[in-house]
Amino acid sequence: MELVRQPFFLVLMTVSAAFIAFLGSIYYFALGEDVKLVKDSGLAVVFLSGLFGAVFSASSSVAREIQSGTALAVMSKPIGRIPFLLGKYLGLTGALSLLTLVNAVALLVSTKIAFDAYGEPDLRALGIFFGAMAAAFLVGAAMNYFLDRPFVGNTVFTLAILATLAFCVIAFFDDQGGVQSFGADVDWRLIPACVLLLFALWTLAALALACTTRLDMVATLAICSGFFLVGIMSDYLFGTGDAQGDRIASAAYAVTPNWQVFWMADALEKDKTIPWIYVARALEYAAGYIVMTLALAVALFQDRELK
Amino acid sequence: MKGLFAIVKLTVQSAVRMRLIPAVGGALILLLALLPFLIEHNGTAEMFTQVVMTYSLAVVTFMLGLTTVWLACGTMARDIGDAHMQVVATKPVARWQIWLGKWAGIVLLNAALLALSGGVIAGMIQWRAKELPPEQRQVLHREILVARGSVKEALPYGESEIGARMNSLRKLPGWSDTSDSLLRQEAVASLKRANELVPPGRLIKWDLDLSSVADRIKDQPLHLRVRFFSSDFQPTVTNMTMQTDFEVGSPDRSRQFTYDRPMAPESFHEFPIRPNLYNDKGILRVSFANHNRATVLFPLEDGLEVLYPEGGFALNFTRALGVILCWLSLLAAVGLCGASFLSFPVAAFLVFTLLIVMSSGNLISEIVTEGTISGVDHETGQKSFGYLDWLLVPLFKLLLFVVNGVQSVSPIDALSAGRTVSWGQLFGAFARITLVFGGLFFLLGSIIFTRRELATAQSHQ
Amino acid sequence: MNSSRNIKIALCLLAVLLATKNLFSLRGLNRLREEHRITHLEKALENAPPMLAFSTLALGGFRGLIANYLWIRANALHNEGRYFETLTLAGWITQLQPRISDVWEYQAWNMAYNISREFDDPEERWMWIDSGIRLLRDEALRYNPQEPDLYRELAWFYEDKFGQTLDEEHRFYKVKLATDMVKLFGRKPDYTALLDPQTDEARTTVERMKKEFNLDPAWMAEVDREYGPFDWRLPEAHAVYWASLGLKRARVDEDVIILRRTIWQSMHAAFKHGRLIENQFTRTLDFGPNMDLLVKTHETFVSLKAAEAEEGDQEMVDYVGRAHLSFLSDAVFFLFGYNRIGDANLWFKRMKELYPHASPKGETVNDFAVRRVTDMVKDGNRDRVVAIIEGYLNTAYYNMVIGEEEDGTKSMLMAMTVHKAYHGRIYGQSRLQLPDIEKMKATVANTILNGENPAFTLDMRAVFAAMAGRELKLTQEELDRLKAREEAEKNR
Repeated sequence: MELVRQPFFLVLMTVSAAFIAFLGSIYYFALGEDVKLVKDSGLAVVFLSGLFGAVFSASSSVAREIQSGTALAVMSKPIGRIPFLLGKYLGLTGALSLLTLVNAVALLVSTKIAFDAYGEPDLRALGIFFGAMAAAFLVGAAMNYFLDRPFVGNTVFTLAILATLAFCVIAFFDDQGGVQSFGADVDWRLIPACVLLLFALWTLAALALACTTRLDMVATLAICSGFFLVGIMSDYLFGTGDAQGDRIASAAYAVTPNWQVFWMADALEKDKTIPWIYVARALEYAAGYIVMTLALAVALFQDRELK
Repeated sequence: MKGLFAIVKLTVQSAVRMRLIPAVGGALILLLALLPFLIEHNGTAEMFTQVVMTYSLAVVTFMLGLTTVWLACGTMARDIGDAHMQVVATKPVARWQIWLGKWAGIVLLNAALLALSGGVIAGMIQWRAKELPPEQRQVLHREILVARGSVKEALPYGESEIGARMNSLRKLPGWSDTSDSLLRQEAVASLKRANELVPPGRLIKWDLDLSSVADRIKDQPLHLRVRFFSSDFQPTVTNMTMQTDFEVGSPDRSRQFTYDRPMAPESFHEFPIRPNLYNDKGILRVSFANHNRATVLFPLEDGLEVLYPEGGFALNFTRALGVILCWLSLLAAVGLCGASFLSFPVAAFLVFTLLIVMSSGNLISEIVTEGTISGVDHETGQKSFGYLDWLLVPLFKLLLFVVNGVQSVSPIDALSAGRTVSWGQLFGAFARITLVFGGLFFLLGSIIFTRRELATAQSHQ
Repeated sequence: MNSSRNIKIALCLLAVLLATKNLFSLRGLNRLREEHRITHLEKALENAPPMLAFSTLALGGFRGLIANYLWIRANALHNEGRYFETLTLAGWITQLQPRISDVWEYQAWNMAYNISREFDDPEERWMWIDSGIRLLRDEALRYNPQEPDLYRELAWFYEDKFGQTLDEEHRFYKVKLATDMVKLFGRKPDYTALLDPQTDEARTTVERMKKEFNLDPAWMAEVDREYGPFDWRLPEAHAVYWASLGLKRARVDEDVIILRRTIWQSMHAAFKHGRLIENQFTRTLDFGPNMDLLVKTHETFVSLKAAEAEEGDQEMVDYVGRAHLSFLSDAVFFLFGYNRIGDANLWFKRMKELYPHASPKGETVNDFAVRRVTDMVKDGNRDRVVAIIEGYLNTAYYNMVIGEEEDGTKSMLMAMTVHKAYHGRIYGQSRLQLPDIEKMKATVANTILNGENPAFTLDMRAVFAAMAGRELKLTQEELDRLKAREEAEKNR
């Protein structure tokens, strides 16, 4: 809960969702294939904003608690280090799931309204979506003013609900404003694509959490950037060596998170699908990596001085 | 000034305390050391250096760029949020000095890390070069690990020729009513074509003026760098080549050197030419005879140039790193400016957003050219929706100005092609990027920081 | 302390075990990715700068973002008129994302329409157009065999770039294509030999057809059966070939109206000028209507219109209808011009049945032809009418000389009809009167005999003189040239 009450979290969620939705309405001057550009760009924003959120949230979650001394206060209660760390991680995954949900909804809207060189932006759908976002802020403000409820936390949850409802409304209309069957022109493959990205974010959050048990926030961010870079190139750097039986390459391949398995932009071309069996296997990989990382995090946190 | 230096020292100490230096430095050393072993090349000195240099510098720029953003946003925003800044602010140090001190501290750290990275890259190149065949090693030290300047032929037509061509076009049937801008466009295009095309069986000559550098390049080996296109384009044939016959020497042909071999169209090719082929006035004539069945086109912009040694690799490499440091200094200024009034994550988010927007240079320039973020019906001139143009178009114009200024020098591309990053370019980059653009962010940031109520900015953790 | 240490050791062991498990999971995922073709095969970009080649290789699936960046950059370069640079960029994009059809389309169009115009020599222009065609035909369709846009683009190159007259070198392209086809299978493909090749020569021909032009004799035979008979030396046949192949291969849910439209446009064009006429005097080629395509073209329109009606798209049905009407108008007019009045009446009746608004009540086929011709002269400009009539007369004599009697008669009839229609319009205003038609014929004949019409060579003038029963007057220069030719033939 603490994470979703951070002003930064609301800013990130709002800006990323608004930007993704907006992407579907600009002219790309791209000689065709504008819709593909929207999908790729949208997925990239979902990924990058989630990465940002994962790393910052993980870093601030533990490092600052240690720095400010509240970790010591919590640990003095009958809460061991392991439950403390695992609890932090589960909270992280919840916050990231909420962020990814809103961004995924925005992406579905964006690709639904995307158009090619001969089309025009669907201002009606855009208006509904942005209207829903604005309404969420108004609801949060009203709850804060009349009911003394925290503004940021309530706005985040309201935004998630209203954005989803807005999409449901938009999906019942085509780009001319005529009624259609629900989501007839929506690319539903974006859902498994976003689910895979969520797994990637969970993985990075675990890495960030592990780093933050020993390092300061800035150092954690720098290390996570390195992991991000190496993880993108993992297939290139170590994959070939692993395929050729090089043990060192295999070891490096195993410990480096491979972001390629979670990036499905190529699969959104015509006549391709993202099979759910693949999503399940990717979850298995992510789960294995997360547990491995959390095990190391716990090991690092065991005898960390909390004063 | 004492206060300023104190802040610089504190910033550096804070970064060390965060274990940032060992973490980032260690990661960089590891990556740079491993990279040459992981990257494939074809065994030639040229390819080896290009590849290792390019990839390594790209990795360094990326890592240090990110670190700069984290550090710049973190060191300012967290100090404000944790109330450390209030303690510093009570000291006899002006707020702008605090801001500048932090900026200088970050730049100093970047300089140290860049120096470390540069040393590792240079060391790895030298070490891995031992694996190259001996003749390739010679090529490496003589022709690749040098800094080279370039000379191109001056534009073969001027305003008078353009004007004359426009007049003759105007007389053609159907052209009399054409607007001046379109006429000019067509005139320039036809003049360009006339100077670029080499039909089969014909010859083209370039006269390159080396007089300004003739003393420096006496007895030095030169290189010719060429690129051409061909109408015999065969997209389904890989590694297609065309016969090229170059003659290089003085205009009176008293000194000549011929070079003929197959070359692939569209790519850049370099080959060495003998020294001292130019005449007493420093004019070097290069001719190309087209013995192929198709026309060959040498683009005026980069179809042919002479590369000459201008300096050593070490200094050139250092200057290139200097340009990268200028980029990082601007990034630090942007980060500090954002952190002057925003929290750490929001400031970092803003900086990254700006970076992503600025990397979309082509899209921005399209929007500025069209004058709208929406589409334009070119027949009616109507925009689809231009409600936000009043805000976004001027903003994009400003961004484009900054982007063009920052991207005017590319040290990574220059080094990988063995080109000089001149002192002029370095000072130009410093003046433009660090002083002007960085200065603007400094002004903005320090004004905001000076007026900020630090007590209200404490975090509520 | 001990228990803490033991916990740490246990956790590290767990981490190692899980790392091993991760490796197998990763390998399994990679296999799944390949199986379901979720990501492209990674190979280095050819002829790309090192940074770009590295990025695309190292970034793997994220290369799509680089392709997007290159795509936007290519657009910026295109707007600046830097077509060669866009050629390079688009080439990289097709390597990165070969399954994106728009890039291939752009690349081919850039070569055929933009870059070709940078060269003055028609042979070189042809080479660029041919490169664009081969790119689509041999590369793009290999990666995207079900993409209707690519088939349409390929068919369009034949229909527009070769078939139409907008490019000043269109005649060169037509001749080049005709020459290539003649070298391949002669004037007409012999399907009997090509579909079941028994001789080495036939086998070689089939191999060359497939290798050099990607032409399948079986599909050619099918196209001729369905839509033809075509003259395969002309571009319209090839346009129909590729458009119909696209119709056959497109995915079930694709919108194929673009292909259908290409087919009827090409068939209409083939009807109007899909017959090759060889001028044995000048050894050049001319083009005339292919009346053999009349029935099949009509049937094509009818079936395509029915297909659109089945899909419930009334707008498209009306659109096809308008094109069909335009074709039927041409058909009636041409038949009338060829003096095939019976056929003209038949088709006129058919046209009125299908499109009652096409003709006012009570109008005959004669009235229709006159009305159509009158439209040409309706602005009452005397000089323009004279030029039109003299044009028809020149064409008539030309066709007669080269042995195209039918075309000659048609043009003569047109000249007379225009003359009559014009006089009907001007209501006897003397200042606008034209000379008598016989006088106009004589004037045109004189210009031909005097050598003032460059379309008529010396030999053609001699033939014309013999046909007209007139004396051919030669200049001294022409006499000398004739003498020199006779000497040369004697010596040979």
